[in-house]
This record gives sequence, structure tokens and C-alpha cells, in this order.
Amino acid sequence: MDVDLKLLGRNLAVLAVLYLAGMAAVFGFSVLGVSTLVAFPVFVLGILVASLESDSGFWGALLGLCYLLSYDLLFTAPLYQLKVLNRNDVAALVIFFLVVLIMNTVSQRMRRQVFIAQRNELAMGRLNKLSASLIDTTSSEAACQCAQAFLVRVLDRDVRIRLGDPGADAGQAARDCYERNYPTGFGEVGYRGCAKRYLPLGAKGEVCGVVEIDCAESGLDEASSSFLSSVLAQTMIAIERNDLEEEHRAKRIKAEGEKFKTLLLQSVSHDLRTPLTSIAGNADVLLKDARIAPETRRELLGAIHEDALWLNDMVENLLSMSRVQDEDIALEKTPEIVDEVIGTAVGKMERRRGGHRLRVELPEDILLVPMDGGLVSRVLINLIDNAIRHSSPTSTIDVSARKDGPQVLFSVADDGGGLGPGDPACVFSRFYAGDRADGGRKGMGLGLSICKAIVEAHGGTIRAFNNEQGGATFEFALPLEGGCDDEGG
Amino acid sequence: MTKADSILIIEDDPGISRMLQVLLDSEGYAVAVARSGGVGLSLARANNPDLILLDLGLPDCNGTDLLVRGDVLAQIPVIVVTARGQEDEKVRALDAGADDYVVKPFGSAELLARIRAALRRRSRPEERPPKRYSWQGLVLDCASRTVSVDGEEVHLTPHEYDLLAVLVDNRGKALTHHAIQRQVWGCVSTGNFQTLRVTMASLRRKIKDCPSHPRFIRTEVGVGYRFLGE
Amino acid sequence: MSAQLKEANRRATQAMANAVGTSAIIIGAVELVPVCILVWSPEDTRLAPSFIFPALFLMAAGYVLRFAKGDKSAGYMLERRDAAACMLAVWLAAIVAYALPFVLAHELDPVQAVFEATSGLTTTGLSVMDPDECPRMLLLHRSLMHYLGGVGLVLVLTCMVSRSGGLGMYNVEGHVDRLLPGTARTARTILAIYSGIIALGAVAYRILGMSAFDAINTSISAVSTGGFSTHVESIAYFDSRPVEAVSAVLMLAGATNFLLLFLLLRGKVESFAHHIETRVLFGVVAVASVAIAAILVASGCCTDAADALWTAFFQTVSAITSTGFQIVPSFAALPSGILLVLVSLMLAGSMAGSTSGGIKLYRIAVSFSGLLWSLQERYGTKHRIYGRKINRFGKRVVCTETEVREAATFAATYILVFAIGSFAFALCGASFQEAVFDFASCLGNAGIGVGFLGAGSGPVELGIGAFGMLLGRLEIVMAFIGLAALLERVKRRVAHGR
Repeated sequence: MDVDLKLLGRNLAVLAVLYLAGMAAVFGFSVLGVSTLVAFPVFVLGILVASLESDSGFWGALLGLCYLLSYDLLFTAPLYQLKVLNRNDVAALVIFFLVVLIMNTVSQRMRRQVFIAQRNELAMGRLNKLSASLIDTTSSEAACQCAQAFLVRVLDRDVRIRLGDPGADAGQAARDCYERNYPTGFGEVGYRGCAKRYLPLGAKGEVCGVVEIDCAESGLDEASSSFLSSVLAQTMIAIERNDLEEEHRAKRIKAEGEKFKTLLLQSVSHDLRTPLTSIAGNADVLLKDARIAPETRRELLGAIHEDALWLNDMVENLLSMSRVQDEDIALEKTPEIVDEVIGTAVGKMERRRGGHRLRVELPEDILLVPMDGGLVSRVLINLIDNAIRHSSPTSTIDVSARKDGPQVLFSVADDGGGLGPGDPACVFSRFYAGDRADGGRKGMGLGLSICKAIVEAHGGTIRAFNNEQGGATFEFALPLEGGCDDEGG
Repeated sequence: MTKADSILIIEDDPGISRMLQVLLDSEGYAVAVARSGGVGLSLARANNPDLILLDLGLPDCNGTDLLVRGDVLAQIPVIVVTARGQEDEKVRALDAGADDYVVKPFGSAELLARIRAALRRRSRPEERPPKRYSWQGLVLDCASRTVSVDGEEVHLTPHEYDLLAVLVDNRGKALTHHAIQRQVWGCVSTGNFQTLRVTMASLRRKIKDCPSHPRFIRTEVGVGYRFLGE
Repeated sequence: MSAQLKEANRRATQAMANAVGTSAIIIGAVELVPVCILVWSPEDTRLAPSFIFPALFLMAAGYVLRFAKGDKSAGYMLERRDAAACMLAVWLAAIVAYALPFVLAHELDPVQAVFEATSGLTTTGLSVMDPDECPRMLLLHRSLMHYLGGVGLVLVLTCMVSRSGGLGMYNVEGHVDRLLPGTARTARTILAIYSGIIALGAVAYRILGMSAFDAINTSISAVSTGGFSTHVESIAYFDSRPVEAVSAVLMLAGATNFLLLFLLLRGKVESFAHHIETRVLFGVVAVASVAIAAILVASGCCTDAADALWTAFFQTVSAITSTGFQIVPSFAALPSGILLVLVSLMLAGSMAGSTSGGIKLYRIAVSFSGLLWSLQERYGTKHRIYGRKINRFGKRVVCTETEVREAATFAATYILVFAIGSFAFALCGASFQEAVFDFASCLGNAGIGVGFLGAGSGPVELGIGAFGMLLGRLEIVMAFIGLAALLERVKRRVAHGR
């Protein structure tokens, strides 16, 4: 309304100025004694200016009328009376009218064209801006959101773009649009009374969504319709691009996954073969040779047993790793008592500690930490195993845990050897296998990376560093909060 | 032993079955083998062995179902053999009436020890709970409900004492959380037995039983607890 | 020239054309107003065409010029130089357009008409006409010229057209400071204050017995510090102390910075009182009045001391505010001491940002303060820090070296032009007294003359006088810059065309 008032005011002001100017001119001419028929060209000039400066032909015509009436009233005899003019005047009047008419039309058309040109330019500018912002979107939904916001702003009405099937509760018109790929709703045959217009969003004959336009106040005019089509076409391009990108991304991840699996399989098969070869070999010897001394026999059997245990361990690690890798299964955390977890792990490693000393330091309080007990136990086992293998043969290994603010810090520290040169964080990368201190078989290098994966899946952190006793400390933290429903007794 | 104890092995894998046969044979047990649950059940009914080794991964039926169905099995101690990772199976089997369990791969010593313990329990008459129990420094006085370790008296809460008593009563046998909970607290909840575990941890600390080098109580991961005494 | 530069140039030219065109339309429209007087004095009907056609022509020309504007020149901020060029173009167009009625009505010859128009628009007030013989329409026309020129032609434009470019030019004319946020609002407020005071003045005059026509014209003349009167004796015609008093008040109002008036209306009397120019103005008026009165009495021109004081006061105010009202019968008859004082007052001028002319008290205050500070620095105690603050609108703000330098430069340029102009007058045959006094009156847009410039003057001195008036009004530098820029544009156009 405000704008209309301003516009109206402007038109009236322009009209007033032109009227006064015209009248003044005629008055001047009359004072000078010039024939007042000169007034007509002046009027024509005034009307021309009026139709150029006002926004519709109406004002020009109005001005013309005012001119004529005033002229007749004030400048033709008898004064102050409307009277039919004589022949000269009639002729002039007729021509005047024709000129006015033509001029009005022409100037209006010109204005209209200027207006259309400006509007088109504006539309182009807007489309460019939309393109620019669509390029930045990273998903189909984002592209739709972007286009939707843009359309709402430009068309000044409610617009909604929905991807996928509108669903049963979206209305018959929407579903029709989606299923049959043509526009429905307001303005289409067969949809009387529908206040919204639905357009299919798709390309190459396939529909991927529905665009809903609110036409409650007014329908879309042609310019807006074509603008809308351009916008939707661009949106469709952006959606396709995003989809392709996503596909590409997924494929890349899958390919990486495949690569990892291949690598793993290769590594596994290699590492399985070694102990298996040893077992087979030893067993073979035992079978073949009946004259083997009992000590040697014991030795070989011991070796076979060791290898079997080693294989078992590796299988355990692989299983744990696959559990953590499988993103579909969420980690089930239950509150476990720290003492027990440590106890389990240490208990299992007790047998294999060899010459090492295994010391345990439990936290002061009884701590319940949400975790997958089996997995965390595996972490500790791997860490202790790592310590056994890589620190000096008679080192002391300390396993401890303590509360540290909102988390519990587990630590496995030894005092022999320490980490190798290079970034300590590297030890956690896959297939990194350091040299053993006792010259034994090198591991597959998965142990520590599994630890890292398990700890991080729990939302914790793990790190390694050289400690003051000359060895390495592996420390991981698990958050004390972490939610699991607890209904225990 | 006057008569050799007979053991029925219900195991489908020939390799493991063979190995078990050899092992048990060398220990002097009379061994029978069944390759499937159905056959095993019939054999059990027919021969009434002293102990059954039951593999949970049988082809024709679930080992646990066998325990439930087989009424005759209720009288015979059963040790279930499970693969790693089948915690719920273990728990269910124990709750269903199995006596004990071993996890593949198991050490022969462990298996033999468990067999011995199970047979011992079987031959032990139902006795009233002893007035006093002592083992390796741990002394339990049932009348006064006091406990002392290495001569020092230990102050336990009622629940802690009950817990210890239940374990001692079923010494050598693996008890599930569920079973313990039911016996100590009376009610059974389907949660993760937090209270029980906290109580256990507190008990352990008091009787100076480090979980990594257990003297008295061993944690059976995922299953429950077992008292190590005889 | 690179394409970008050409494009920028083109847009600047378009914007300038747009601004000049729009101004022309408004100026033309205002020129039509005197025709209204026909309602009260139908005997002037024959003059109507001499107003109507120049006005309409100017409006038409302005409209056509506006067509030169491109689509994107709206909102284009003009550079200083271009703004100065625009402004100069507008002024020249206005002078020519407003001179035409005089010529067409056969009242004055072209040079005289240009002089009169310049005098009107620059609110000087020196006239080559006899007001008593002048048709009412022309008298009204003269007053309207004062009105328009008072607040600045460009300001009127800014009122109507709220796009930028308006106040940019206004500032170029030498009016400084903004009243309110928003160019258009400031402009409208200034116009409102200005017109309001005029209306009040007219009412006061009417109450005091002047005819409506006289009241309106005199009020306009007073507040715009112009000086055209409807009677040849100027204010002396009315021979009434109250009228003189009202006139003095109106003159002072017109000579006060618009911002101060605004603050005063808002109730901030303190800011008004503490502002440096206020103090200087009232101080100078007081001192000069006493001095002139003393000389009057001493030389025997006036017998009554009170009378002398009042006359001195009035004329001081008239001179310093560059109005030009007169209550003494003739300036030529006054002792030269008084004339010298008056010359100084005319050159000094009143407050910046008002309708008065001259160097402006602000600059004088700053220059003197600057002088004082540098003396202090040179010869004062080494260990004292001297504050370099000056009170503007009630706030003590720091006066920078640049400001001092600018003010001093302007004052020096002004004096230089004054010297050259006086010399030019002398060459035209004026006596020393006449040359100095009358050129000071032109340059300072005052309007009191000793008679050198008048109905009988030749085209040369009228031309020099008009030039001086324009320079003074446009604050010299800007006029030259504008001229240079304008010529450059024309040259470029011509060069291109070839």
C-alpha cells in the first residue's frame, strides 16, 4: 500500500507540474498575443512527458482532458464556459486526440519494454546468483533448500521443494504430480479449488521430487513461470551433480574398503601360513622320526602349541577388528568394573609373560566404566602383549588405571626399550610392526591399530610415549559417562 | 575309584572328538562318543554316564535345548564346550542346568580339572552347609557370619557375606550372574548386574583377592564367577 | 584510456547530467512562482511571459538533460571535482535563466540583468534597479532569488530528490556539517527552519504595520541575508525602531549556522552559547558597534549617542551578516574610519553554514587560534603542553594542523582576490574608497555600496562585480575547480567527437 501511495503521489505531482506549466505557457502566449492554437503543441508536449514519467497511459489521458477543459474554460470565448468549438478548433482537436492516443500508446509500450528488459536483466542476475550458490551445495537436500529459499524470496510466496515420494498425506494432487510427471493443482484442468500448484522436479523423464507453490493469493504470471522453470532446471542440474558426487564418494570409500580387505587378506594369509607351516613341519618331524629325544620332542610339541596359541590370538584380533570395523553394529556399552577388566586381561597374559614382571595397580575406588568389556580387555591384552614382545626380556610391565576427571586412564608401561625413532603416533597405524626385542616372530602389526580403533569407538583417546623408566607407556582414556541404560539390581 | 567314571562326549567335530577321546582315555575314564544331540540323548538315557561333555555347536539341535528337554540330564553333571564369543549361550546353558563350561580351545589340564571337580561334586552327598569353611587362609564362620583372611578379620556387609557364602557353597562350579543374583538378592533383574559386580569388586578388595591373580574367586568373563576352593 | 576508466567517466557524466537536469527543472519551477502575484497586481500581466517562457525553457532543458542519464547512474556518488562542476553549471544556468525576465521585460540590458540576477542569487543585494519603479512581479522575483540562493540552490534540489549527489554538492558550496542522519532529512530540516523563520519574520513585520507584500519580501531578504528591498531607501523607509530590531534579529538568525539554530530549537542553549563562532560574532558586533558609534559621534554625523549606537549596531549587523540593509542615508558620506571597519566586517563574514558570505568567523577564529598556538609554541614555556582545542557546537574538539592551515590558506586567498578585484575596480575608474568598499561588498556578498556600482555603471565593472559576487558565494576555490572540471569535460567530449 505504501508503495502505491508513493507512486500515486508521484504521478499526481508530475501531473500537477505539467498542468501548471502547460497552463502557464498558454497564459504566456495569450498575454503575448500569440494565437492560442499554439497551446495544442504545448499540450501534446505535456502529455508526452506525462506518459513517459507516469506509469500508465491513464495519467496522460487525464492530463489531456484537464488541459482541454481548462483551455476551453479559460482561453476560448466565451470565457469560463464550455462551448462547442468552431471548425478550426474541431479539426485541431481531432488531430490532437489522435496524436495523444498514438503517443500514449507508443510511450506506454516503450515503458513496458524498458520495464521488461530491466526485469529480465534482474532475473538473469538472480539466476546467476542462484547458480553460484547452487554450485556450493554438497547434497541434494541442500540444493533443494537453496532453491527453495531463493524462490520464496523472489516469487514472494510460499514454495516448497520436496525430494522423493510426497507420501500419502501430501494430498492427491501432489501424489498425482509425482507419479505421472505433469503439473497439477491450481490452474490445471481437473483440480478446481486447489490452492497450490504442484510441479514435478525431474529430468530425462524421471521424477525425483515435487515442487509446491502457494497460489492462494494469485497464480503465477508468465514471466514468473518461466523464471521458475529456469530455477528448477538449475536445481535439477545441481541435484544430479550432487547425487553423482555422492555415488562417486561411496564408490571411493567402497574401493578403499576393498583395498583394505585385500591388503588384510594378503597379510593374514601370509601371517597364517608362517605358523601353520611351522606346525605342519614340526608335526611332520614328530610323525616321521620315531627316534627323537624326549627333550626335542617336548620342544617341538611346545612349538606346535605356541604356534596354535599364536594363531588363536590372531584370529581373536581379527574378529575384534571386524567387530569394530562393522559400522552397522553400534558398540554395546555396559558398565564394567575396571578391576575385573584388568583382571581378565592380566589373567590371560599371566601365562605368557615369560621373564617379565607383571604388576597391577588398581584404582582407589571401584570404578564403573561403560564399555564393551571384551573389547577393552582385548586392548589391554594387546598392549601387554606388545610390551612383552618389544621391551627387554626381563622388563617390568605395569598395568594400572586411575580416575582422571571425567574419564578413566588405563596405562600399560614397561621399563625396557621404549618406542623407536619417529612419531609415536605411527605405532598405531595399521600394519606397522616394530622389531621385537627378543628376536621372535614379528607381529602382523594389527594389534595396536585394533587398540586404537576400539578405544576410539568408545569415544576415548590413546597415546604412546617414552616414559621416565626408559621404556614405553601406552595410555588410553575412556569416558566415564557414556550412556547405557542401567537396570542392574 | 572302583569303577571307572564314564563320560559321554557329544561332539560333532571328529577332530576334537578324537582328541577328547584320547585325552580322557589316557586319564582312565570310560569314554562314549555321540555325534549328534539326538544320539547323545539316547545314549545318555541308555547308559547313564557319570558326566557328559556337551558341545553347544551341534548340527541337529541347540545344546541348551537338550539340557532343557533332557530330563535325564538333570541328574548328570554336564560340562558344555563352547566356542569363544558365545557368552549368552554359555550363560543360558549354565542357567539351564549345566554344571560348568570350557571354551575352545581349552587346555587339557583345565578340562581335566573341571571334570574332576564336577565328579567330586556329584559324589559329595548333599550336606548341610558346614559350620566353618577354611581354605588357603580364608576362614568362613557360618554361625557368626564372620570372615577372616590370613588371620585378620574382615568386615563384610550382609550382601557381601551372602555372596561369598553362595560362592563357597558352589565351590568349583561356575555360577552365572543370574543365579548369584537370585540366590543373594532374591530378585532377578534383566539388567547388567551392576550391583552384583560392584558388590563383588568390593568383596574382592576386602578379602585381598586381586582379579588378575585370583586366590579365591575367579571371574568367568561374560558368565559369572567361580570360587576356586575345594 | 582503458575501458573501465571510460565507463566510469561516462557514468560520472551521466550522473552529473542527471543532477544538473533535475536542478534545472526545480529552478525553472520556482521561476514560475512570481506569476502568482498577478492575482494581487493584474497590472503586471504583460510581464508574465518573460517569466513563464524562460522558466518553461529551463524546465524543458533540464528534462532533456535528464534523458542523458543512463540506467545505472542513480546513486552514483560524484567526486569533488565533478560535484563542483555540476554546481557551477547549475549556478550559471540559474543566473542566465533568472536574468532573462529582466531582459524580456525590457527593464534592464543583458549585462545589467546578469548582474542583478547574480546579486540576487548570491544574496549580495547590490542593485542597478530602482525598486520603487519596479513592477511587483520583478520585486517578488528578486526576493525569490534571495530565498533560493540563501539556502543554496542545490539544497532545494536535495529536498525534492533524495538520491545522493545532492548534499555532496551542498557541501561543495561551503556549507558544512550535517544536522541529522540522512542527507534528505538534513536538507528538509534546513529548509523547514529557514522557511519557518521567514514566515515568523513576515508575520512580525505585518503586525508592525508593513504591507503584506513588503513584509514577505523584507523577511525573505533579511533571513537570507540578501539585502534587496522593496523600497529604494531600504529599511530606512519604514523609519521604525521595532522594524529595525526585528530585521536585526532576522539577520542574525540568517547568519547563524543552521546546526546551531537546530540545537537552539532543540533547547540546547549551552551549545549555542559556547560555540566559538557565537562568541566571536557577538563579540565583534559589540566591539564594532561601539567603535562605529564612537566615530559617528566624534565626527559629528550623529548627535544623539543612543541613536548613534543603534545605527552603528544595525549597520554592523547588516555588514557582518552580509545582508546589506541600510538605515543611513548614504554610505559615501560616512567617515572613512567607519567604512574601513565596515569593509573588515564584510570581508570577515558571519558563521559558516549560514546564508552569510565572507571568510566566515570560524576560519578567522581557527586562523587566529593557530597563530596564537604557534606563537605559544615558539616563545612560550617549553614544558607546558598547550591545548589546541576549539569549541564547536558546545563540544571542545581538537583543532588539527590541517584545519588551521586550510583556514589560513582560504583567508589568504580571499584577501588576494579582494586585492585583485579592488584593483580591477580602480582600473575601471573607481576611487580608492569606492573600489575597496564596493568590491568588498561584492566579494563578501554584503550589499552595501558607496555608489560606484549602480544603475549607471558600465558593463565592465558590472561584470567584474558579478564575477566577484559569484566567487565569494562559491568560496573561490570551488568555483575554479568547478570551472576547470567543466572545461575538461567539454574538451574531452570534443576530442572524442573528433
